[in-house]
Amino acid sequence: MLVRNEVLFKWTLYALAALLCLAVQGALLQRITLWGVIPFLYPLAAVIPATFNAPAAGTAFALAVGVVCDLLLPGSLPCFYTLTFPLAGLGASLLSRSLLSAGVLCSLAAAAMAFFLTGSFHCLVLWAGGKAAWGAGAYLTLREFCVTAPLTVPMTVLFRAVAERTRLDE
Amino acid sequence: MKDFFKHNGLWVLFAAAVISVALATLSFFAGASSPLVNGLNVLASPFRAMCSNIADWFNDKQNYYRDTTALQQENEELRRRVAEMEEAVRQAESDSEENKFLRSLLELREQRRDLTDFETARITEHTVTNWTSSLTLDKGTAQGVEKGDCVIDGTGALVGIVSQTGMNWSTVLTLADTDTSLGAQVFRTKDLGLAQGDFALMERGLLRLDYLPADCQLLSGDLVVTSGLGGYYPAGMVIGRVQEVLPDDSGAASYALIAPQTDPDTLTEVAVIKSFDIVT
Repeated sequence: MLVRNEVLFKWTLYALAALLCLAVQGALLQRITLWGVIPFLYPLAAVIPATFNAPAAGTAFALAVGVVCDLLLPGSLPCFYTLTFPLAGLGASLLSRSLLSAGVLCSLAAAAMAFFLTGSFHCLVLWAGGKAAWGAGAYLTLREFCVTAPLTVPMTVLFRAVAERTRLDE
Repeated sequence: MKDFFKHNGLWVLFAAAVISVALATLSFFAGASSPLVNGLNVLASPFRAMCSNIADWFNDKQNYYRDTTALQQENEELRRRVAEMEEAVRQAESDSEENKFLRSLLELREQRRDLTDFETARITEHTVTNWTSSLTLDKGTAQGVEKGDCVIDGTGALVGIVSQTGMNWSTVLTLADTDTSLGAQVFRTKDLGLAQGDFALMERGLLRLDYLPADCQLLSGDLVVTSGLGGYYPAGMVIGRVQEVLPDDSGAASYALIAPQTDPDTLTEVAVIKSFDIVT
């Protein structure tokens, strides 16, 4: 297979896996409320693939997921996730390269970082709009992470399968 | 053998005729069947019974198959009819609900002559993230829905404001969302204020009524409606009722907690106010 085709195949597989996560979120998780919050898969779909890839590629993929999120979800800032997810993706990729090897534990740490980043940014936006709610924001972020954390396991399995499948072709 | 019949054929024929006549005579005069007939029939009886049983078994199977096929067809037909009836009942329930909603909307239209154009819409999705309180409707720009349009329920209570529109969809930010902000008036005291969403209250479905006059005398249960100031939204739309009056952070002024009149989570159908007359 030509290198260009391999790259195309790899990212198509990643995109399809991410699309599956978005479908699960839209069709199932959005209708479930646990501990007062909806499980939120989007940050996981941005950071877990980044843990299996180089920082540049991981950041670019997280950016793409961020753009899709901004197109799908309502929010105060039209580019909210486009700004936060690449940062989270970069952090996740660096984490897997330096501290923890890609796996469930690394995904969990990357997810915590992604939720922390998005939560902080949400609080910052609220504060900038004169509606500061640091305490409520932090509590919501914590609950969001706790409710979503168990889902890092199947998502890591899914993206690991994609990573291994594409690595075989390299 | 050939020679035997050639020489004795006549005798054999004669003997056979005599035996036949004797048997016929015996059968005629005897009350029961002759021993020969009886013997033959006794031998044939089990075979006859077996043949009869086999024939019965085949007949049974044939009947069973025919009956089962007929029952299956009947069952299928009944199932189809039940499904059709269930569909009709569902449709009737949905129509009845829509009819009720449209009736209340008609009453509202008669009461509120300033609301000139409505568009009814179904809610296709409730809140999609934990940081916003929104609804997605099945009507959009193709039906004339625009950003900033008010969304109300069947009783005329305000549900939210359209924040985003597409061709056949639109997103509504509910009253409790942090981005919602609209001029409000306390119906009893005529005090003006600003009703706005607060993140800390959003989960409880409440909103704040800020910038109240220092001398305002609000009571729990006071009705809060839209002020209509600025002409962005129609005046007099019910927002909710005062739940509690609290001092703000500075302690110099106070704000009220408002419980919206309608719970967006329980709604399935709403109306979008596409145009209204500004009442002065």
